[in-house]
Amino acid sequence: MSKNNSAPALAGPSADPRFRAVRRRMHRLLEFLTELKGNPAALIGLLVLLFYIGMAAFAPIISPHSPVRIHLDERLLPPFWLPGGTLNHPLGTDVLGMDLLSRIIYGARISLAVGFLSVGISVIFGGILGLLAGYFRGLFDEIICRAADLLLAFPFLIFAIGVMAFMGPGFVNLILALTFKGWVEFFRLVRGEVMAEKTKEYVEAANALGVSHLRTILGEILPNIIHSVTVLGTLRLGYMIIMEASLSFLGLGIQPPTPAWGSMINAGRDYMMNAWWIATLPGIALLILVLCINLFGEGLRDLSDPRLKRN
Amino acid sequence: MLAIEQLTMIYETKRGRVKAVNKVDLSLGTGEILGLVGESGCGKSATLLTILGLVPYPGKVTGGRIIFQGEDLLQKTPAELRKIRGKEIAMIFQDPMTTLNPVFKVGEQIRESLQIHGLMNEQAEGGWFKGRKRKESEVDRVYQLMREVGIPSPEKRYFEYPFQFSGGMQQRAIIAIALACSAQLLLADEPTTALDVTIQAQILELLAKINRERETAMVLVTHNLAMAAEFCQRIAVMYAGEIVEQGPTDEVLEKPKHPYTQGLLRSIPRIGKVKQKLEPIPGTVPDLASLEDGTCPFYPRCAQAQPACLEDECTLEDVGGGHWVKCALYN
Amino acid sequence: MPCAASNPTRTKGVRILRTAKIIQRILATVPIVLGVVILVFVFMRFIPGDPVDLMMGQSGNVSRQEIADLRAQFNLDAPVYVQLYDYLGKAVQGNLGESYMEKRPVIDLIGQALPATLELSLMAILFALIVAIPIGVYSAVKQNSILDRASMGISFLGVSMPGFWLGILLMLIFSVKLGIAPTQGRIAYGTGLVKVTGFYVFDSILTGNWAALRSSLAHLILPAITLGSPTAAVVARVVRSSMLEVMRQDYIVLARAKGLREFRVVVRHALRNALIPTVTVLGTEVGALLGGNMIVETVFGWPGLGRLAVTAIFNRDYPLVQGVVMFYALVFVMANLGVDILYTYLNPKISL
Ligand SMILES: Nc1ncnc2c1ncn2[C@@H]1O[C@H](COP(=O)(O)OP(=O)(O)O)[C@@H](O)[C@H]1O
Ligand SMILES: [Mg+2]
Repeated sequence: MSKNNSAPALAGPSADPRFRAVRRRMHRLLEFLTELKGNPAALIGLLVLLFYIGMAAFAPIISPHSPVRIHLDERLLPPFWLPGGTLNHPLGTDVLGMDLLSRIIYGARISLAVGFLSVGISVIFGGILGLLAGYFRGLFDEIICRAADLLLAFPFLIFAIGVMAFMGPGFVNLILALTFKGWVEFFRLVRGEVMAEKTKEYVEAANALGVSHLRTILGEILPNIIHSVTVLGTLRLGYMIIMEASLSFLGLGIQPPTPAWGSMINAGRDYMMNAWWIATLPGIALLILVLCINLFGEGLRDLSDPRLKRN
Repeated sequence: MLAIEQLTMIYETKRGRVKAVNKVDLSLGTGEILGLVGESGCGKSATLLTILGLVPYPGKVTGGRIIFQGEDLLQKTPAELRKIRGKEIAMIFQDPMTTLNPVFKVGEQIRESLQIHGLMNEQAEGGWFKGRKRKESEVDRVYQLMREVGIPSPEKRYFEYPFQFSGGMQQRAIIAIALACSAQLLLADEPTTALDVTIQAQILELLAKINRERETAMVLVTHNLAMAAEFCQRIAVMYAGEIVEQGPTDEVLEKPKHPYTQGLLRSIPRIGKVKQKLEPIPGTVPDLASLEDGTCPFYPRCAQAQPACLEDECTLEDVGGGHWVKCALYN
Repeated sequence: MPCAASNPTRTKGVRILRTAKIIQRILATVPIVLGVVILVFVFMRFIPGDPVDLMMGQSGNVSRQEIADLRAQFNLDAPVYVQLYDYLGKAVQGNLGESYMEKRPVIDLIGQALPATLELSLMAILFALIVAIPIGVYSAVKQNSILDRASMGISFLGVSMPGFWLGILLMLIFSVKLGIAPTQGRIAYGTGLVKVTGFYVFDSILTGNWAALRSSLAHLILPAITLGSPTAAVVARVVRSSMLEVMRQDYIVLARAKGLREFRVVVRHALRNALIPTVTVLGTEVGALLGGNMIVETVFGWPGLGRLAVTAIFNRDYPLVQGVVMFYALVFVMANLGVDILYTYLNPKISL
């Protein structure tokens, strides 16, 4: 980040921008982990996120039942701590007798998969467009910017609902709907940062030395903007997970019986009088996940905010 | 009219206790102008804010008295202090560009002073249109004040926002706020530092005129000794939260006693002396959080330092003619 | 004295600049609005099958002649650009087509549902501002106090809370467990409310129907809190951080030096400045509010635009979906325009 250590070096292996980028990133990761110790909230956020990822990865091993197996003789069982509850179904069962704990564990798969995929595709798509538009400007930039402005005229959820309404529910459509609009923010962020970085001396120096455009972009600019993209990506991850749950809740996302938290909550609405846990527990899982992702994201942002660092 | 005795104000920070104002003694007569000089960070602003009772957040007054017109300001309730602030004692700030509120019209900001101190109340007789009439008389008074401080066409500029004013004009508006309630004491914290040289002279001339015509007493903070020499009857030199020398302007500038004052004088060009070598004082103002009680804070930078400086804490001693010095050399 | 020379057009200048800026801003929304309409139209054409096929799929047996008539009626045999031109021409006149299900003009259905949605949204904004601004101000003035920490913790929770789940939770607590709030709809049966404007709270005050007022407020409160909470959380955080910034400024010291009461310093001199950055986040918050509408109206059975849209989606009533989505986007664009205009009024230092 500081100009002098990235100014085009004289000779030796460190002159290779890719090599330096990797080293810089490793260094930053170490620095980051030590600094995170000073921010317990962000650390907890990261640990809980890792816990959810582990839960999703090992769902078949840790969940006590199949998430879609119907037990009509065990319908609407309460969680174990309530009268009538059993440890066989620790968090109770839903109206078809499906085990809630297993469904919540498997639900993490959907939430995280949709979240990471939609953010990931948005980052790649928006990032590439932003790099190109910000570096070369011109007509291409103009066109993409107009498109972005147009997409910004829609509230996110309305846009996603509209797209899902026309394309129909389903995992792939869901990700498409979220990325159709999701790329815009990464595009704007990357474009802005590229335009700012471009004026800095090391990029001009690289150009003067005859380094190709592509090499300049990848070797010099990219490593410098990766941090702010990571921060935005983390904060958007929580948002995308809420969007997925909202769409599934409306019946436009993942359809039952596939276990998704949003559709589970929706299914539980009809049984609030006698089985409150069906609608409540998946929501707690969702809230904790999003809360911790946001804690982690804010922690990341504070680490990168030089204003806060100074104090 | 103002007598400050042993005033101490401390910022309680994580790094330690910053003695920004340390056992300060100052006095000021009616219509008198006192210059308060010293390098940046030695507690001049802190002293003025403490007089107004506006110590910023981690600060605490830990001792001393501020006798203003026979009463100790430190004993006053917040409500009593509010009646004095802006009305009896007014303040002018260093950076006019950030001192006016950007979202209010300049005229309204001047009028607010009149309004809250209820100055125009008695001029409006009862009746349902009292408020309106009062506002009219307040606006007229604001025009008059703006004219007095040299803001041209006040009928128009009343309705402008601060960003439409130049720095000098903003400082004039701030002076108008200070004059609004005819304060007897004006605390001016480096009122010209942020301005162009030509504007500086105009603002100083304005302050001199106010002092002449209204007999307003002033404390003028500056680190410009030439300005203090021209403008003030008496000078107090401040270093690291303490007053180290105080006396009539000529005495202090012609026969400086304290090594710090001598150093300050050697570091600025003086009119009349053609061949003069400028010598800055070596070193910088110490970190006020790490000062030890009882030793002279100037000791590390002092050319005339001697073992006695580290022993007893000295007090301000009269060296004759109302000239006071705080230094082991004269104790 | 560079600035002493007076310029007689100066004060007027601010007003003219501001008007110019506003006009410029209004003009800039025209292409956006046009783009929104075209985008929604294009999306309609992208879905497999044309509207007539979709309609046929729903109404069963129809004759060939009827199908041909419908195709002609929808202009489906014309080239796409003719259709678009046709569509735009109609849209400008407020003709957004006809609902398949209700067989009524889409614009009428939107108009009918609009007051419910507006009433809910306004109440939500009101709730958000009334709660969030004092909390933000107090948290900033008493920085690091217990109340500050607590309210910032809660607002962080609010930012991360999925709206629909908050609604269900509130319903579970206040309706199911405590039984003090109704769960569905806008008003109880049998209050005999005469509908004048469609805003039930306003109508009941207008007609002096206090039973209806109580009932409509009771129905309104949980959805409004659900819808307004995320906005309240964001606003509280923004107000707090901008107040902290403003309270450090020199003009606050001057305000105190004038002898003002602390309340006046905080509310008049500081808050007025802190509202400027706050207004800019309101623009994005309107988007969240509009999206939240669909969710909250579904949860609380609120007969507004959002529920109209969701019902239309499940009925595959495409003209209605298209109309509502477009309408939402236009409201969002207008709201942002309003926010920008408000900004130029709050901030005298407009730069062109
Ligand atoms: N809010 C604060 N907290 C801690 N220390 C402070 C604060 N404000 C000022 N200081 C310290 O108090 C000392 C006096 O500051 P100031 O009165 O502004 O000096 P001057 O006006 O003479 O330049 C300085 O050393 C400064 O670092
Ligand atoms: Mg100062």
